[in-house]
Amino acid sequence: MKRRAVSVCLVFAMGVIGSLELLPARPSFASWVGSNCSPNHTGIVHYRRKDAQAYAAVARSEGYEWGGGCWNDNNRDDTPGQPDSNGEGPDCSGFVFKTWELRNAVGDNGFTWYDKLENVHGKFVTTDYKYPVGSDPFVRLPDKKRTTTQYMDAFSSDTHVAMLWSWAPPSDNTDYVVEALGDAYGTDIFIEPYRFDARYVGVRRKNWTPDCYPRCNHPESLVRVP
Amino acid sequence: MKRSLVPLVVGAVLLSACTSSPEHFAATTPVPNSSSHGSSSPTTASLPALVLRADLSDPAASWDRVLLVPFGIGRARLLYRPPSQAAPAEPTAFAVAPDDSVWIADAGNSRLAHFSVTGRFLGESKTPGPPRDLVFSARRMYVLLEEQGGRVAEVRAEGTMEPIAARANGRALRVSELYPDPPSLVVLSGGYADSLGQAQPSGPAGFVRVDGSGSGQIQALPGLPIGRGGTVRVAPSEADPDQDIDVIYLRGGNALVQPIHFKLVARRGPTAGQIAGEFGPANLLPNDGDVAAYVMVSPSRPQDATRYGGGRWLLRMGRSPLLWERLPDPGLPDEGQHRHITLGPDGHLYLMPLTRAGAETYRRP
Repeated sequence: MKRRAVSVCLVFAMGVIGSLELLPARPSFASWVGSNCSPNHTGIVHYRRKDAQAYAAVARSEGYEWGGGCWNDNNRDDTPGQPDSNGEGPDCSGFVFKTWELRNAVGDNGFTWYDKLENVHGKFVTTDYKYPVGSDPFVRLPDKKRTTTQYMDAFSSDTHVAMLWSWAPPSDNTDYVVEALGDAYGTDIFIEPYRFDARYVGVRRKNWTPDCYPRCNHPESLVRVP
Repeated sequence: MKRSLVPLVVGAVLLSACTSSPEHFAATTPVPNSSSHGSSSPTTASLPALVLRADLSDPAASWDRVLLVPFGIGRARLLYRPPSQAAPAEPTAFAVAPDDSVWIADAGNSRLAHFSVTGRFLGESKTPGPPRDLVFSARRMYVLLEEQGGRVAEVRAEGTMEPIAARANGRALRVSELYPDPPSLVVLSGGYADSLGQAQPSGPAGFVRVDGSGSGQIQALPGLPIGRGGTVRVAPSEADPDQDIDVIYLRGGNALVQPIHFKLVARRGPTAGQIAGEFGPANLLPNDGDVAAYVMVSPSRPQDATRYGGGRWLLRMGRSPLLWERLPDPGLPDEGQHRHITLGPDGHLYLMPLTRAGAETYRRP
């Protein structure tokens, strides 16, 4: 009985979250998003990890907004201390959606570039990243070994997701990740122990264009995180 | 030269007096990697590898609970906001003062909260944002206010904060952890804060001593000072960076390398089997020739993580007998917590797991 009640609550909560994520951005008159954001996106064919890294770098030092997905490039949080106000920044799962150039269509592994000022979150939340199904444009990695993970892969738990950065960490127990960490921290590159936390799994976007493109006749070695 | 190595070797030999269950003990004779007998050039010696088993069915060691600060609203409580498409807002660090009172970095409320050992709220010091780390270096308390720009401050008795420059060549350093090094402070630097976009950050990375008086003087160190003229650093092994580390003791230009191989063991019924694991030693604590570390352990494979979960262990090495024991698991997602263990004024180890009851503080007997 208790388990059933918990399940009902969980389903309800997921439904609420899901409905929020799938809805278009909230009407945002007099909000930061309403004043600064507009749709601008296009499908592209080739997308490399290093392109994704460069895209994510733009979001460094910007804000965090639960359910959000719009930011500028002025290296500060434009809506500090105003959580859930249609303010600046992505949340963690929306940040991965835009950085990985994912699409909302089922079974679509293609790429769509979204301008940083387009307020889009995408349909995927952290549980989708942690428990992908076959039609998703990402897969769960078989393990979290350093020889397996590559930069711009993600570590995802039920509640948070972050992407692995390419720098060698300053100590043995951490990784540099880029993430929309929370209202108080914003979006940036942080040092985190997700690899060593059993709640986190490794996730990889499907269909990356090799980093060597378009000169793969002279292949560069893949960048691995040391 | 040999004489200067003796304390290191003795320290390593002492490792063999283990309180846990390593499968292999350090040998009494180091194996030199480079020959320098009869000369004054530095030497590097390696010891046989230690094998440490982390059995996920092991019970946690029993520590004494000294404090519980509940979560909730109000100055005498701490903020815990469950994670949802973000990391949780939760206490990030703690420190035990010379009078045994406890300071907790209450990140969700952007403050340092001060409690007596009886749990009485003693006061607070507001911070400009969520504090990341907290440490006492002798009687001075330092707080890491921001990782990206390396903003460190000394917290004065009246609650005010005196900025400490963690800069080199006029450029701020990224700082992720603080360590005591009286009368100074040591930080773990990730290089220049403004070197984003480079293949690897430039500037001093690793352990850096910062003049605690605010002069701005920094000194790159070969390792974390652990007292008695020695330093230590932990490096991933090239052979297996997930399960092997090298603990490198440095003293007087000589190095002694203690390789450690971790084994992760899980049990299904009566059968125990080894599974692939990830081992992350964090929160290095220097203490009179010893170094302790909080080791996070996770199965590598997601199906193993689902089936067995992970764990946390304490590793202590150095002059004292080797200690390798399981710690209580947190009862809540705690990825926002940066400091899990710290040293008290009496040299005791303290642990702060986050549970549904609140932030609990334990002292090792």
